[in-house]
Amino acid sequence: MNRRRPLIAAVAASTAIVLIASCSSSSKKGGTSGTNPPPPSGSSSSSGGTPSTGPALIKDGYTVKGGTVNILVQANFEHLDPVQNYVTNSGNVGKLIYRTLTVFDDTPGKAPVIKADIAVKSGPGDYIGIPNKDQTVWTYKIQKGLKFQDGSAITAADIKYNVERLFAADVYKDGATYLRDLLVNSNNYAGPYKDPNKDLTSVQTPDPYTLVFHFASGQPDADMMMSLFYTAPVPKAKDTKQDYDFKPVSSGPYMITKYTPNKELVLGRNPNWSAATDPNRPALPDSFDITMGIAPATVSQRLIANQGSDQSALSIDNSSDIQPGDVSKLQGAKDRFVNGAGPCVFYNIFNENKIKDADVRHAFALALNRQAAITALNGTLFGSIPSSFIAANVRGFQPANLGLKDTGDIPAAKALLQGKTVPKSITYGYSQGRPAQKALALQWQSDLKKLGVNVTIQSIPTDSFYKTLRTDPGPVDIALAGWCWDWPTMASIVPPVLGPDATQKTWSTSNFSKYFDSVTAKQITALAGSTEAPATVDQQFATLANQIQTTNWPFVPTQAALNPILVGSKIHNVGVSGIWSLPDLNIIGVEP
Amino acid sequence: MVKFLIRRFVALIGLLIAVSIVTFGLFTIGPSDPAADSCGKSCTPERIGQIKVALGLDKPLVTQYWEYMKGLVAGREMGPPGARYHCGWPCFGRSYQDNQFVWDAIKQALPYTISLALGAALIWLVFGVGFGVIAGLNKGKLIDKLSVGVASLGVSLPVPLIGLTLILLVNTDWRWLPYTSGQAPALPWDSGGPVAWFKNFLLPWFTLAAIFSASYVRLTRANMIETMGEDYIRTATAKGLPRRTVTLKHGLRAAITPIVTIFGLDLGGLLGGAVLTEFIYSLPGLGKLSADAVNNGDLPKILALVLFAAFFVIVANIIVDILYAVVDPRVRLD
Amino acid sequence: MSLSAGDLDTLVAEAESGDYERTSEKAIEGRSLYSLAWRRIRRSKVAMVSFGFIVLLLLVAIFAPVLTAIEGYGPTQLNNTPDIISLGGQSLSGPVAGSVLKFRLPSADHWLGVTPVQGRDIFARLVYGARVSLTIALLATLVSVVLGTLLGAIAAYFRGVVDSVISRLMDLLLAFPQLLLILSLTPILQNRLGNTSLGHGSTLPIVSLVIILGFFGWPYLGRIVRGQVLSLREREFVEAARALGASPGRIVVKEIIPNVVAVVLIYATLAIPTNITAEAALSFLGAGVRDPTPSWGQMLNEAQNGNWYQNDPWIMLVPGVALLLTVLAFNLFGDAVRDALDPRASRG
Repeated sequence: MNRRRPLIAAVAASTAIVLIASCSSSSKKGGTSGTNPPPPSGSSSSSGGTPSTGPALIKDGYTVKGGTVNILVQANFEHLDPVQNYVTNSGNVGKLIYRTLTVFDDTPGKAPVIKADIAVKSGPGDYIGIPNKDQTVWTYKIQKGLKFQDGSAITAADIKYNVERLFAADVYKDGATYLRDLLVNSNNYAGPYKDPNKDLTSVQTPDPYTLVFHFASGQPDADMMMSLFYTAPVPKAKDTKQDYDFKPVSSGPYMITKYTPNKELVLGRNPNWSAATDPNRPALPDSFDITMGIAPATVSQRLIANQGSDQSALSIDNSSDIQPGDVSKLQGAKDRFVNGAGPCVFYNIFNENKIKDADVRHAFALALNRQAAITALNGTLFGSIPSSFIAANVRGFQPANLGLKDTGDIPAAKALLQGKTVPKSITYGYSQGRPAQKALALQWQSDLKKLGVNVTIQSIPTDSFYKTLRTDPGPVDIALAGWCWDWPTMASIVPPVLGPDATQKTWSTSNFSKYFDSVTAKQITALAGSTEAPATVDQQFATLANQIQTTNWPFVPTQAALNPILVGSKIHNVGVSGIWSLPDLNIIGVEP
Repeated sequence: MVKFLIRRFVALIGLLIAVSIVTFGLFTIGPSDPAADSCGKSCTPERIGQIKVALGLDKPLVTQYWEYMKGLVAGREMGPPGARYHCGWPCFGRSYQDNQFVWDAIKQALPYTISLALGAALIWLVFGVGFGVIAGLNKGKLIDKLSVGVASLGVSLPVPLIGLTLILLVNTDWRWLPYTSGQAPALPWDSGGPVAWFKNFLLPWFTLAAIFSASYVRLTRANMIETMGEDYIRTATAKGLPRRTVTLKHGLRAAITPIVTIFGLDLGGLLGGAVLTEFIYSLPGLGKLSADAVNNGDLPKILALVLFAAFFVIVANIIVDILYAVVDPRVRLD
Repeated sequence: MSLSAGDLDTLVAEAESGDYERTSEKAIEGRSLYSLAWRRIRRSKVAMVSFGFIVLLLLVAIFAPVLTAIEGYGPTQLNNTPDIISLGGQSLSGPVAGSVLKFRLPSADHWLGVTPVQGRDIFARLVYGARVSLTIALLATLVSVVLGTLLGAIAAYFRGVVDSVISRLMDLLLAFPQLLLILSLTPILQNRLGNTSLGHGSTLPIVSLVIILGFFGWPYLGRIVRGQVLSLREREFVEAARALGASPGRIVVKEIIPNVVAVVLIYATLAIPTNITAEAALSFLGAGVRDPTPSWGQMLNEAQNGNWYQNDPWIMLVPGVALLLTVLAFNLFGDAVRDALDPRASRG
């Protein structure tokens, strides 16, 4: 399975969860999805500071329509039903099939910008929706004349219907839930199946082209929240419930023409989609032919070999399934290969409730040979040594002065440990089935041995990895966690990773180090809701985060993930998407 | 004879039920909690409860088992209130992973497993029995010694070694087999036609057949030697029957008969999925389906595949028993 | 496999082979059955070579720490300094340089080379892996032997309901698709065991493998032992002993057990390679022994993961050939043991 990623989320810090992705192309599920606090008010897009995501595109500038893109993936898509579609690979395909109220413009090489999709930009300034004074009520106007694949008209009622489905929590177990969590729900609405006679009063449709959302609290980033798939229109008459995963009705440029689960998914053009209404989707290829169930090793070899139909192929699996053992063969494929930083940074957390002395944590961080750690995590193709737990392409980024040596600094570590009580034995927990994490564990074992500390390596079943890390104090002392931003601002990263939970009395659920300090907690929360100028807030955030990092040592930044992408020789317009870390299927072109 | 058949059939049903109870119990009482595992962000006990309803785990175990068995035999209604759906016979539920009906997934995977099993079976029967007979008839000569030697080696070969070495040879040097070509594993009726199917299955067939061939050589050879040493063979030869008749008509038949029963058992076992071979070659058969389901904690699939495989094993056993009874009347008196 | 006729046949075989020193009384006593068998084994060159290999292997496994001390590298020691391993660098602006790995092939320093990425010494992993693989196989066989012998004998001796229950249990276990069930049960078992004092360390997979392989192996032996004891019960010498006034216990110990032991020995020599193969398969699939504990199956898993073996076939061939030779040796020796204890089969 692919790395799971949320699309965009904007909620209070209390419901934050960390996305932990694997750097290896193993076929395991990725982590849970991340959510983020609201960015500073007034800005729904990033401005200033140009985050660089590395070299932009392979063979860009292509505008020829036609051809079929072959996509090779390891596993079946979990969900194509928009209300449950919440992971990167199926999300990438979902964007081709359905439209949402808003959508991120994600040109590689530039910061993502939120744009109107089904909605019509009607708000003041950069806003797409129209907020009321305290931003609890948001009104969206949608385009007229949009059609489903069968020619029937798309109206506000269809969007409302999908939001209603979101409330059928006992039918749909997966998917983003922000609207369900944040909208007013005074009558305990439980979905259109259980409560066909009740109405979801917090979403109103005064006319067929207007939607009004009532939130329980102010939501400055509602525009971003609306880009998730729960605002994709679903016609009530065609709602097949659990089977909608296999027959979603298209509102986007492509529709499903053939779907054999676990085998093949073919997308063809949606005749009732109008390019004029959808400037965000060039929709160049005529069709997409997705073959599922191919082993990662095979995908890797086929893409490298570039034979026959594979010349129009690519993969939307993590890192294009490139196997570490095949890296040497990429030499001959330079012109169809691109690599770039994405939104993810991985760091080894220290469980502060078990390793209680900040100096000991600092010493451990000093001891780690981060260069070897990069190699353990599959090498320099897949990651680089970071200078902070925050990704370098985040607006207002400032490197922390970590004072660490790339190959580890044992003498300094030993000096720091003088006179301290050092735990004789440490447990490193790795997610089962992640060879890369296992290799990293071995590196820790080797490095900490030099300090006289024994590391016990414990494997944790993938499904309960986060559960285990969250238990307090828990069995694990050190583990690999990570954060992939949903949009590139400090406020979306620092509060969930280092901040408090909703009660302000303890650490938040994504704060796996269990770091908590009442002073910084207040500071973080204040900054998160600050209305000052973005640049000022960014700077204050960065300073605060770096200060916590270098004095408290809750973790040691280990790997800034890179995302190698390899495509067939006939594919054009491929870049590392800043949000997805995958090739963006919407802009791709192919030679027929 | 009829009484014998009825008794065996009753035993079959009994065993299937026992297997189903044990399997169901093992997997539902296990420490894994699929509801809690699916529960992502903001996991509250209430949310876990809702997921349990979605997955049908909220009812008492006995009810779950009963409904499951009912579904297997006659289909059943599933799903949370308001979103019920019909799961046709045989109902194995829906996958936790991608919501597909497990029976559909099994149907998809079955042709690959059957292809693999039958192709390999043909190869190991021809080579195994063939060389076994030859070796048995030429005991002590070079061909015998060679066969025994190679067979001993073959029986000891680890499957991963065979598989990975073959892939290595084909992949790096020859490239005429489709391991890196543009084809996904194909069935004879897929776009590549029988040729693609053949190319794709050649290596897996030989890998799977290798060990079986070796053991069948040994088995057949031993049987052959024992049979040819029997008194009645000596009598027949003494009576003046041509050697060929003696060998083929009397000797071979007696030697092969036990092989047939063992073959039935082996084939039955393979129809549940040759996990190792499918894993190595990434063939989307029942074995790979099982390995993936285990990795993903997809309980409905795991349960279904274990029951399915056990079914084939038990049925194969029964068929073998019946064959024995047909051939040897003494058995029926058991 | 009927040893009942074996005693008589042994005499005949001895007579045929010209070993006239054996007297008939001695031949019937259980004890000299073994020295007889050993004599036969000794005569087979193949058997002796296999036996020698097995002994060598056991020595290597026992003295693994000594061997690695001589070579200088441990099995979990990382030798991944850049001068040994270089995965080839690349920068953001362009793709890869080549991947150059030195010291992969055997050298005077690393006798069998090193693994990719971490540069762990393959020889060290091989000898420590021998420990793990052999330990698991031997212990699992022991578990099967104990369970199978006990339950099979009990079922046959007491008959009736006890026999029914145990026989049905054996049928049930044999009806399951073994690899599949082991594969799916292993995580559950490990989870359960992990919560006990055993903890989640490296002994957990080993213990759970021993339990699970041992548990799935006993029905085979159980059936054989049951059959054996059943036939022995009715044998003349048992009746004779009973007629002479011997107690049931004495009958069991002096008459039944020695014959059963022979069967068990034969089973064991076949079960050991089967368990070695099973552990290798499970570890290869990722459900058995895990890093950093080395086992031969685990080394194969490492080789196959990430496609490293295509770059570097050596890391796959070493554990693969080791497995092949070990299983071959056990199989050949097992054949010889069987032939020795049951001459009728060897006459074929």
